[in-house]
Amino acid sequence: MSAPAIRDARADELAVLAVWLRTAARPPAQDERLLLAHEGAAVLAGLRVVRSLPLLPLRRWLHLGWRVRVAPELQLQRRDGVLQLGQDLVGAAELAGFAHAPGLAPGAVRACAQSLLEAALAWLRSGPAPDPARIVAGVAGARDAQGGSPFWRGLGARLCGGAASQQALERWPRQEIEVALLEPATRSAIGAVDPAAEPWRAALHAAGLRAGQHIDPLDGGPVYEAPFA
Amino acid sequence: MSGRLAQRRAHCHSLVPMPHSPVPSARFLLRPARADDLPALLRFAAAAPVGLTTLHQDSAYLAARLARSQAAFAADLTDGSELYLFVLVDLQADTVAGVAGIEAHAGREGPYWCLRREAGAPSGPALQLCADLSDATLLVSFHVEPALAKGVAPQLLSRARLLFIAQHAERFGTRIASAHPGIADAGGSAFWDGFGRRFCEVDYATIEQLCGGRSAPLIPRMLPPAAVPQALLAAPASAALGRLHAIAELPHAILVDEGFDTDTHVDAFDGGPLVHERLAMLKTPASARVLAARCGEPGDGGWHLVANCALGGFRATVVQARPGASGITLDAATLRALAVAPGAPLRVAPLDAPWGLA
Repeated sequence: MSAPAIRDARADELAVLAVWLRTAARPPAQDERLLLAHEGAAVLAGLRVVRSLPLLPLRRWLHLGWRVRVAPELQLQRRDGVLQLGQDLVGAAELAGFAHAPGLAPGAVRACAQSLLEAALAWLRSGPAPDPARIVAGVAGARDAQGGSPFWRGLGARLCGGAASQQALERWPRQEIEVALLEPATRSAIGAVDPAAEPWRAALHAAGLRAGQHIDPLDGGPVYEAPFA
Repeated sequence: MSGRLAQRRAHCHSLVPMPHSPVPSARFLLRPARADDLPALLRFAAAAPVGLTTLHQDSAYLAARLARSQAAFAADLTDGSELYLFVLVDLQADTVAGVAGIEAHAGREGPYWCLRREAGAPSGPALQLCADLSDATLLVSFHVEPALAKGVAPQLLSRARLLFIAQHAERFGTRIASAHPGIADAGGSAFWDGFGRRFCEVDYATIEQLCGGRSAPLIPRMLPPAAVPQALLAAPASAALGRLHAIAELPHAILVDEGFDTDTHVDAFDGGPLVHERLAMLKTPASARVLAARCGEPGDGGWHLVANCALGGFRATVVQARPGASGITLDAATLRALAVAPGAPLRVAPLDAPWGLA
């Protein structure tokens, strides 16, 4: 497939994106763009680009850190993961909500993702640097056969109850969570990518973004990051 | 004057054992443990659960504890590291029927680590590793012969320690605590398997052996420094949290009746309850009075704990008596068992436990 063309979404196209994203698609705010990949009249994929994540609505991520445990008495030397909810990435530039038309071939999805990324990064880098000077992009986490998130079920639902949402995170503990306490299915979902999101992940990788130390608290998916420069 | 009363009066003025001393109305006596109590302690240790680390079946270990205790009872100067062990003597059977102890300060070798149960967080209750009880005095090593579990003997064995602490308050903390074994056996502990073992891969028996006193420096290096939401514990660990080993039900019930707070702390290894309270708030010390010993017919009355005010010569018993405003009348044999003469001060507290005392 040849590279699709890129343009800004029109107001009447938001409803289409909302279906693809299975959520409400709002019009772009100031310093935001909603880019579409298209071939002629056919809209193939979309991506929201944010110059700098605002303070509101409040966004949260889980930082994956490490705790080293050394106890010679037990011949113990190990490194355990700890998860800390925070707002580390507020202020960074974000590439969010990549969505594509159903039934699009994987190669076409990858081509759309690549073209959208190129256009988004060019627009971001034509403007002032965000603070922190980073570009971040979430990748959807692993799903089970029913479309649920094993990560949320094993951690978020236990801590916050109910369905995964930024609002539910209000009940998330302020302290670090020890990964060693989580069940194996929950642990293995940390940073795991949903197969359906693989083209998006691969495009991010090709554009120079890499999985960092943050994951999405709602599904455990990795946040890919790159320096702004 | 009847011959019996004359005999009692004659006995009242002598502490020298008489060839035909009458049996005291008190059947049980608490006294400091001695080196020759080791066989009894070994017998008790054989019946103690894995989690009762202060009473494990090791002759050298128990002999060292007896020596430590004898040194504490003999010491004029203290540094808070003392251990006081008491044995319960069945005067009728002339046997040692129980043991109980006091560690002057829980954190004598460093912070005493346990888990604080925190409530009120939006995500529900959590367990926070803490050293809150390091300055507390610990009640330890409680064991009584099962055949005596339903009578006054365990009441004396447990509560008389509080009278001893009240009498020698300068040697102890103002807060008293006691850790009661949780659900654990030689096969392990569900709480440990779902909590501590996740961070160190060491089985329960091994960790008890290494950190029995709960002051080992490796505890804070191993367990999470931040509060752990209870919601993240596996179901078996969560079910074991705050639950008692069957053998601990009696000593726990006695301390609950005393007024100990049972809800705020648990043991970091087996999840068993860790009770604590300020001494002044506990029933027995708060209701105790110092009365002069009098010799005579005790008369009918309620059960009372009676202890002398000595240190190395500490004795306590439980009798039915009717204390007056300034004195308590006891028969000569009981005064002799308490090693006091008429006029000596006795610390007396009513014993009104809600279960049978017969």
